Amino acid sequence: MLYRKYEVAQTLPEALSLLSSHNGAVVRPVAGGTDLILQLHERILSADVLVDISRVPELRGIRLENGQLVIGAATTYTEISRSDLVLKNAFVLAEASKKIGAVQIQNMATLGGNIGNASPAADAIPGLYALQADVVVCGPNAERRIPITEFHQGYRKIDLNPGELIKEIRFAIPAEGTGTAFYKYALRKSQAISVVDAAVCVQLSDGVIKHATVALGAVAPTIIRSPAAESVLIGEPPSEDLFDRAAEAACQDARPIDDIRGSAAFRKYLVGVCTSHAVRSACERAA
Amino acid sequence: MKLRGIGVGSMMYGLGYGFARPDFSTTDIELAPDGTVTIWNGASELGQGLQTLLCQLVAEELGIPYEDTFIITADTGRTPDAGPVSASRSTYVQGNSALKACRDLKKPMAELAGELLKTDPDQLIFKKGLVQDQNEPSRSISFTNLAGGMHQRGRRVRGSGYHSITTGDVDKETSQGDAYATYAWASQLAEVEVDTETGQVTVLRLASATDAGKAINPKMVEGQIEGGAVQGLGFALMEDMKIEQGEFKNAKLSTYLIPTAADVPMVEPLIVEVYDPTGPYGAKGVAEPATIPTAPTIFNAIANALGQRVRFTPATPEKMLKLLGKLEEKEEQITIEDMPYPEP
Repeated sequence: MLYRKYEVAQTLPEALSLLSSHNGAVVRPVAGGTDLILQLHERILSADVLVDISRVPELRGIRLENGQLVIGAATTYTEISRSDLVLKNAFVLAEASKKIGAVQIQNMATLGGNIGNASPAADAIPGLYALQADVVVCGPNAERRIPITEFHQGYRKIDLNPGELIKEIRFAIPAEGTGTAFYKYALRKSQAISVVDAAVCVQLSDGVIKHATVALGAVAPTIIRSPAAESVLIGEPPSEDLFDRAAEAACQDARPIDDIRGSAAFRKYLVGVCTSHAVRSACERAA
Repeated sequence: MKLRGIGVGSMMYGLGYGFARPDFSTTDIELAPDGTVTIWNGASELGQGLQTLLCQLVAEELGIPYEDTFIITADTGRTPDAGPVSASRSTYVQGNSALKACRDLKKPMAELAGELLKTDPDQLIFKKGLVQDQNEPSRSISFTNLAGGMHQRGRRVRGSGYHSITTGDVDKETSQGDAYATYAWASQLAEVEVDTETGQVTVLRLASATDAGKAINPKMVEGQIEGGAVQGLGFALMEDMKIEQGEFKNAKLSTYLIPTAADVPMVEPLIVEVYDPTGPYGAKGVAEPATIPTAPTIFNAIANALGQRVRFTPATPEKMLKLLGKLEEKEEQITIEDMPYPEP
């Protein structure tokens, strides 16, 4: 048995109470289940009770609120990639959402699930690092708002207490003149886990990069920002030479390992490929 | 930089097991009083269309509608040994045994028809639901009525066919000889694009000409040709068994990658029909012949694009980047040139 009991929450208070009402039992929230069910099957995780939060209205949908984009944790990738608000304000997330698995997975998997699973190869999270997003978690008594860079504490380690749920993602709408991009390198064209990926936001002002964030996936225990690449970019006009230098700088910040998808040396090389492609696309979209 | 190249690959393939290895099949068929026929054959339907094919052959040989045939395969309690489904032998060996089973059943059927029609059983043909004197077409009986008559009179209504293509062995000293019952030929043509920055090889289009002898079911042969190309593409570019200390490190479909629909180019299947007198209605196997030329075709196309030969499979991006000098080569690749050739 993967689990003993499956409960479906209809509201956020109900979900929170279901999560803490089974004394001594292992209770896990489930939305799309695209990571969780596999991990239960492979006995990486165990669960006595699953609480289905995929229908909770407070956890769903995409909205603008005081200059911030808010994405509910149980929003699916298909919803994200088709959202006008995302396409207009955070294209990087729509681009990444279309690269996750394939359509069937995109229809089921949720942004909150990707954050909770905390894989260093997660495709949606580099975009959130580049957008400098915050994760809002809620518990029985209070909400907490944590920058995503701090929410992910280490390899598959997150800042979430028992009884708490990831509620939503929030980030400031990027300023005028910002372009964003995601570039994924995988070993086939779909249904593939990233070998390396990169997400970039650049803001152009008078032909010069005023602000830049570069995030890298699958090259460290968590998604990381590349301060070296960012500082190369800021204050410079976009050029092929600049993209090359940013790529080189990003390689310095990457700390990849050898695994089944590629050697550390291969990944280090790909950091450059992914960074230069993503920076180039972001600059083109900013202009 | 993205470089394109075109490559051709060809192969010759010995069908079946050859080299004096046992290679046979038995098929049983039974005639019901309503004129339907049930076929028993021990081979497995793997999705390749064996059941469809055997029913088609039997329907054609008995001159009855395909819908009047039923088939039971791979049931060890009921089906006779047909040998494995491998070596591209199903159509060629199991198909032939099905035809022989039909001919065995036709003997008592023709005898009774000869009695009823007062004609020579040897002159009777089975065609379009009729059993008919080929010299005097007005002398005929429907297959269904004849089937009923067979049962009413207690005649033999079961036929069995055994077919063997077991060959002689080659000369032990010289390895010379005709090792196989028959041979198949195939050629493929592909255009690839090599991205020298990412190391990724994309097959843009591929045409595959495969000698089917005679395509019993052209749509299924096209499916085999397309599927063979996809499997060959996986062999050339993706399928990478990682074994450490005898343990598979990537024995999952999430880590042992095969092509997805998104990785497969337009495949143009070209059926070549060179009648094979030893095959059922001239047919022979197409399964492996449609797979074997793909990797050499792709590798020739890569060589055409780069001016540099790939001497390893699969040509994964990481290995391609090493070949292109973008990544340092750590482990020594054993290439074909390094392997000692036997003295002539």
